[in-house]
Amino acid sequence: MFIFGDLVVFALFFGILGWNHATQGEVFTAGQAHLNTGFGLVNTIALITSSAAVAYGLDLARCGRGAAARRAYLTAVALGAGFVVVKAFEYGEHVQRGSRALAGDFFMYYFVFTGIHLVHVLVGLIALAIAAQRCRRLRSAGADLGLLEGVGIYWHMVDLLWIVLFYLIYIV
Amino acid sequence: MTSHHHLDLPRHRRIIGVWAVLVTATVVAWAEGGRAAALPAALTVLGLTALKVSLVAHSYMEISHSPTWLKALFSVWVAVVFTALGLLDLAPDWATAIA
Repeated sequence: MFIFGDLVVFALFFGILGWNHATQGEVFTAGQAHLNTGFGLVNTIALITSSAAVAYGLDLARCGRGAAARRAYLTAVALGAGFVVVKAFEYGEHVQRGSRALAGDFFMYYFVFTGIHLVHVLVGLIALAIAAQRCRRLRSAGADLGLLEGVGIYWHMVDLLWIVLFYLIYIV
Repeated sequence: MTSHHHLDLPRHRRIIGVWAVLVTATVVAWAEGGRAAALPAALTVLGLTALKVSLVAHSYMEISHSPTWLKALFSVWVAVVFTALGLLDLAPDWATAIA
């Protein structure tokens, strides 16, 4: 239910972004011209690959291959951390350019919505680190797998939300 | 350790196959993005985004294993989000008229 609540909140964010893009096309196009879409591309591929690593890790854990599953979760953590580093560079680049470029609705929405998503990524990284740790000792299989499945669903939701944000902010 | 389960090779291959489709769709949408003002390109990038969301939900989130009501709620979410984005991005005139 928590995941679904988050999906509903982000659906509202998507609606706000879509509405403003439709009604303030010129403002949004001007704002998007300041974006380095390469950052968006690299980060999308990083999150997608991280999501695949988590799906792979869960499969390995279900087979009782704790060490291999742990490596998969650590790979997902590294890719997620890469996402955060790229985002920090991207934010830094915008801030360096100064407030003139950042003025206006586009960058307000950009920072608020990608910022809220970034908080989700940071929470997910902690959850993935806990999952990787849990793979060291997959003894009580039921409880451990339940945790890994929960962490996986959360991380895939973070990926799924980014896929739509990538479309709305960098592509459309 | 529960080592009695055998590695599900078809599922492993599916995870990697889905990953390849997701990355390809991302690169294609990114390359098409600059031309998104034209309707075919706009439809393509929106369609690719919907495809990616569905693939992540079905292959990675394993939503097909969820209770029916959750699957239905998620389908409604996808339908609402992409219908709204389609109406706003592909035919924005009605929104401009209201605003």
